Amino acid sequence: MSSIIPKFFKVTQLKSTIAVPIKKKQTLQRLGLHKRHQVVYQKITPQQAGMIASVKELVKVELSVEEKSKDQLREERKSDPGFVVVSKRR
Amino acid sequence: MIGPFRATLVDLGGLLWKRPWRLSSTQKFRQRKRMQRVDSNIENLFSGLQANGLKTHKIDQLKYQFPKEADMDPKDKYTVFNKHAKGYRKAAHFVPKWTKLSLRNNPDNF
Repeated sequence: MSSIIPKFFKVTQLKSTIAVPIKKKQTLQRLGLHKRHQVVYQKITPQQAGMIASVKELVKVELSVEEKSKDQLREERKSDPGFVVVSKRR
Repeated sequence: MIGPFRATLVDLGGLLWKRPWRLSSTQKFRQRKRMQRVDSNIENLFSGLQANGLKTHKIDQLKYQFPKEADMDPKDKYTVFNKHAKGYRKAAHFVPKWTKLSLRNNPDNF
C-alpha cells in the first residue's frame, strides 16, 4: 500500500508571471518555476501546500508517487520513432 | 450598403464600446474551465496532505469555505460586486487581470 501514497506535488506553471504581484512571482520562483509549462516536483508538506495554494490560479497541481528528473520528463515527451537501432556502423 | 456613405459603427461616430457589457459564451466557458482547474488544484492539495496524515488551516479553509464552481450561481461566476455599477454588479472581465484571479466571494450582506 505504501507505494500508492503520493509523496510529491507535481506542479506545472500554466500562466505567465507578467503583471502578477511581486509576491506571487517570488513564490513561483521559490517553487522553482520560471516559465510556462515548466514542471517541478515538490514534497508533500504543509509548507509547500501553502505556497502552491497562494498561486493556485497560475498552476496545475497533480499528485505523484515518485519524483521525476528533467531527463525522465524529456524522455517521456519523445515520440515513438517506429524502429529500434540495433547497432551502428563503425 | 456599399459606398462612401455606408452606415458603419465608425462612420456613425459617437462612442464605440470595445468591450461588451457581458461575457460571450466562449469567455464564460473558459472562465468555468479556469475555475474548475483551481477547484481540482485545491482538491489535490488537500488529498495529498490527507494521504500523508498532514493538514493545514489554509488548505482546510480553501477546501471547505472557498466556493466551488459547481455550487456557484452563474451570476457569481461571471459578475462581480461593484459599488459604482448600476445594480451593484459588473461583468467579471472588467476586473484587471481577471483571468489570474479568483473572484468568487461577494462582500458580506450583499
